[in-house]
Amino acid sequence: MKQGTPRETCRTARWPQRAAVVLVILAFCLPSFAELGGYADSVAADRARMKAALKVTQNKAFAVHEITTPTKIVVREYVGSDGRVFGVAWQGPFLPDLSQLLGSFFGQYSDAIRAEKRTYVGHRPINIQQPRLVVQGGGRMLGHFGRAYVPDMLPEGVSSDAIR
Amino acid sequence: MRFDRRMLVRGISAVSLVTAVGLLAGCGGGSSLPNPITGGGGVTIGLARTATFVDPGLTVTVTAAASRGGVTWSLSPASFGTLSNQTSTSVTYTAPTPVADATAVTITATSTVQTSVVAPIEIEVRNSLVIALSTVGPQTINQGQQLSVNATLTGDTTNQGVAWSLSSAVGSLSNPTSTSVTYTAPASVTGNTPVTLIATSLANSHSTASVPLTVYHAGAGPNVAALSTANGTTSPSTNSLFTTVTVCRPGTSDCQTIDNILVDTGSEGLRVLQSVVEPLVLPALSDTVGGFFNNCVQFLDTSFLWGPVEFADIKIGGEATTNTPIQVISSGSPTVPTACSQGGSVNENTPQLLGANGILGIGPEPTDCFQQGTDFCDGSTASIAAEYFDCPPSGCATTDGPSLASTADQVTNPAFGFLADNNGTAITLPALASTSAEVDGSLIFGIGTTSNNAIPGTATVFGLDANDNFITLFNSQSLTASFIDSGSNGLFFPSTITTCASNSGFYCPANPQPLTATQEDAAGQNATVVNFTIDNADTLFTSTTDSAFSTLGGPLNCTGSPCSFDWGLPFFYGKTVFTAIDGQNTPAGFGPFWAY
Repeated sequence: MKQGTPRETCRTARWPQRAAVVLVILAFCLPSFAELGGYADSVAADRARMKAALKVTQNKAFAVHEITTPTKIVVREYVGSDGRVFGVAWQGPFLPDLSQLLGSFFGQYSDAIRAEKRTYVGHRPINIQQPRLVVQGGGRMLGHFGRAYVPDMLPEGVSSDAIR
Repeated sequence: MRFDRRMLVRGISAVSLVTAVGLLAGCGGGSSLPNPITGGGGVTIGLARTATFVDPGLTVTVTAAASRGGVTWSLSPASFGTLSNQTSTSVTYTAPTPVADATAVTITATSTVQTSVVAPIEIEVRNSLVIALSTVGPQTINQGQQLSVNATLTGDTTNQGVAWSLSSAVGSLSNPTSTSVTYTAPASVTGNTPVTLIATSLANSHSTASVPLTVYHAGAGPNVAALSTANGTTSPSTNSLFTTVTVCRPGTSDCQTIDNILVDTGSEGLRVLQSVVEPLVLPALSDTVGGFFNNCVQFLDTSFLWGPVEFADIKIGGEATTNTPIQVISSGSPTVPTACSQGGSVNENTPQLLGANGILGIGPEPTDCFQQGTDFCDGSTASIAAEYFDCPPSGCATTDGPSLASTADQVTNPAFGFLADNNGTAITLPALASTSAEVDGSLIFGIGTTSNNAIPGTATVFGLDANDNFITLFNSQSLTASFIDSGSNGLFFPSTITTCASNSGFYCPANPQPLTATQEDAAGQNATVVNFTIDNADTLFTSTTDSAFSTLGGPLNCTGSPCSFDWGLPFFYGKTVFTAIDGQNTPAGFGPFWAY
């Protein structure tokens, strides 16, 4: 079943062209992140295997695990002294896998978005403010950023401004 | 999936031609031809048809006279057209449309009392009568000006040509012939005024072609597309710019004109809903083993756009691209890989969900994969961006991962794909004090390429950083990941202004807030002060008719470092804003940059 209208014509286009169409289907192996509300240590091995760069910064009240994926997404996980992730922030050309990153909070997030979409058509920065979950962010194609945190998990004396 | 269906039609037409050869001998040319068939038991069936030929989309009635009992009906090829109004003595055949090649179909009557007795009758479905106009894409024209249009017909076997008409009483037609006409715009119009010029085949009134025109006071031209905040597919829309584009099957005059396309300088590539492209079928990007590439656009709110990469000639006014990859947003409920949907459930594949019939992405990059020379999709960055998915002919699975896509196969910024005027765009909108039911403006292709798109000497040029951002200084913050985006419907920035109780996505100050920010290029130069006002969104939205709001804003929390100011559509009112495309040369230097 060769298709009728050729892509060859298209390929005469404007860029000096790279070789043939790349048909390699890569295994979908984005780095794993610790999920919001979960424990941070379980995924360290995954990160190493996926060759995502990991940088850990220890503050007084919490640690910041900064992961940079091969697609240049930077994810920061904010880990309290109990080892649990109380906030995440991301920035890069693509969105991280939010269902993985938000973990058990993803359903709550998804419900909030759907409720909002019932009254509003279009895309704009989001600002979900719920008692147990805050998600904020924005951007455009190839430029995404945002953060999510659980207000009642913030370590004592730590403001949400720290998650950025 | 769309490609499969096209192949099916082709296969069928081949089969039916064979059938025609076998049956033609027994079928005369009369419009009513009894052809009694006698079977065992003495049952005979005589058939008659109201016509031997039928044009695409039209009907023929076949009647049966059986000596005993009635008949049932069947069609071969089974899906080439439809049978309706079936009774024991008659049936209506409706031909499909469009029809690429003339095709013979056979309608068979089967005796209800003796199924071995069958009577076939053949009907020739003529190929579509195709009208190609010398002007195809949506066109702008100044008041008092004239436009001559020629029609070229194929399949017009009786050489009758076309009749010309206008969709509304805007302007006039003169010197009409069967293949040409001159349109004269009104001597004066009060605002951008739309009208459509229509050519209708005299031989088959179902064959038409049209040119959408917009009459301007001034400033119209072959590189100008009309913009309006009105319309949209939800009513009223909110600070969205809409235009009209025409997409054609590459190299043919088989085209579809689509209105209510959102103009977005924050993305790249044309994306149109499958439901508004049909019945036009475009060639899909396939792999060498029969699979197809789908494109995915993810939004932070987990909504997404999903659908095949297909090739089209895109026409807007006098500008045209050739064989350009676009995304056709799949209708229905396709299986979408979780890597695209993120498990979210809002597939924005209807006019109601998208608020538009499509998106015209004319941002500062050539394709939806590029950022300042880096291609995130072709493998050069070890990238596995969730943008392209190469799936088998049966469709994708939820577990499928993303694939690499070569640059030439990526959904491409049409403003980059034009043969001329392809270094960037300008959007011109009139000033707007507060709100309006409609603001009309212009999308001008090219920067400094012709007389109507020069960057004025008074304009400031803002170079961008490696992430296509510039700097905004606001409220003692340096927001170094700021951007200008016509697809954002407000001004979004970090502030302590109260958000709306009903909707935390917008600001709702008690009184209008006059504010000041300073824009700088990525190097911190060319500081330019911007004054703006933020009003109460709840108050603004009490209007049920307004579609344009110059004072609409909302929070864009500083969630990382660096932070952003999203200069959405309110910023564009009262300005001409240029967006230069990465790597393209202009009189003000190479893109990417913004200038106004």
